[in-house]
Amino acid sequence: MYGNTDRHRWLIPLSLLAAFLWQACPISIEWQRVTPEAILMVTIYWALRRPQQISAGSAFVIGLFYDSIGSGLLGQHALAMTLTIYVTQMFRQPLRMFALWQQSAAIGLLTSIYLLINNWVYLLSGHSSSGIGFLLPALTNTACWPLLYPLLQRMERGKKQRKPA
Amino acid sequence: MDYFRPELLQSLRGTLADNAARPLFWLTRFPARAWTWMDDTFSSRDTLQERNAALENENLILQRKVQRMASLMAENARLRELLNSTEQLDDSVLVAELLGVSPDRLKQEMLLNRGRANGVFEGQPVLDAYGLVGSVVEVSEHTAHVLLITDSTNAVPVQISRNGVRGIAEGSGRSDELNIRNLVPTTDIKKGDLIVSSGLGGRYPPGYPVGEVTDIKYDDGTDPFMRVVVRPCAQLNRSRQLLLVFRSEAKLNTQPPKIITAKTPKTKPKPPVPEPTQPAPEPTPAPTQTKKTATVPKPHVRQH
Repeated sequence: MYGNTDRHRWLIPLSLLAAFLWQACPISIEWQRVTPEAILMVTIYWALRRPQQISAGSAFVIGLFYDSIGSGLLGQHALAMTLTIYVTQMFRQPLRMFALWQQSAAIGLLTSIYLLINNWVYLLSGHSSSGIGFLLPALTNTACWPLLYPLLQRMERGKKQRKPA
Repeated sequence: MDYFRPELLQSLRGTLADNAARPLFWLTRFPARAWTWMDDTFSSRDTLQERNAALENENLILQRKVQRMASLMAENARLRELLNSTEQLDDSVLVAELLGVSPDRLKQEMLLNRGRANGVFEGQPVLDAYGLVGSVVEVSEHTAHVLLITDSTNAVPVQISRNGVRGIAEGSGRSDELNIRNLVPTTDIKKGDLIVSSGLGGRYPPGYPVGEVTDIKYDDGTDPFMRVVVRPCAQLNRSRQLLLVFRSEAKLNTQPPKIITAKTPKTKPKPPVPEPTQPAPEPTPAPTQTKKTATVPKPHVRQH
């Protein structure tokens, strides 16, 4: 199950880079409200599949990089990412056993945790509350997980061994 | 803004922005750049000539406008001197390109490809071709974060260009809306009024278009004031080329703007001032010279 590590050494950074590119793409501010949190989703995926490589600690570093492209306080994404990945790790076993739709719902909840922490830091740093709208990406993440999960899984397994695990 | 931030963290932030964020945003722009490059390289000679001709035409029209502007500016400067009111400095600008939009949803910020190395400073106003965009809130060596006027933490002192009524336009958090609150319901304001920056507070330069009034709302009962909804003039969602204005610095240091233009590499040249008939008082003299030049235009006025 954990074979073929050479491949994964590249797959994890590459998928994260793709997620970062996705998140950094300059799109309209209105659309940005509903775009999925790709970086978080990819990090959760690897935290589920490869807990040795992506732990709460590496989630902190990923969050720090997210902060560098963002505009909030330095460390707010790092904090949110660390806590969310910690929760993910706690429920790793049941999450892995879930069917895809159950997993999607769980991803929605995890994203909500992430967004709540982020929003909380925003409010502390002097922004006014703008309603419940900040939770919209949780919905899009729920919708996108059934697409992302098989995609990453296929890339992880490679073409030759279709159903090993 | 950021609280309890020691110098160390700030430099870490700058380093991250320069070394991690900039290449990433450069990568995101790569397809667009590649497309432009392909377009430029493989378009035919005829197309290029056509485009060149069109641009030259447009340039001619703009030149004409600039000439008229210049004489108006000179006249304006003279009239202001007669009134003994303050000098309006000519702004110099630096063209910057949009690197990316901040992925944070609750904050409306943009990243520009100019930084401290180009003379960009915190608090610098930013324009696009249509109006006021925002101001620089954070500078690293090669990038600058611009807080948009529509961000919910931003407020621009404005006035109605028709009659000079002042107000404060607050960002709403949506990219197409600003609000002016606390205006008395009897204020003379109409749909379609142009709102320009008033320059009060010193952060934004006066006279740049901010937005257009699209709606006026009255809250029954609770709020005795009316709320004016303004649509920003600047194309906040579309502009790729932005202009960084060098003005506040000139004002603070009370230096003539020439020194600032020398510092910055890519500044717009000052429009030529055609004044054939007169000995020509300078249209934009340094504030320290005001007393000397104030005597010059008087004989000109007597002639009329």
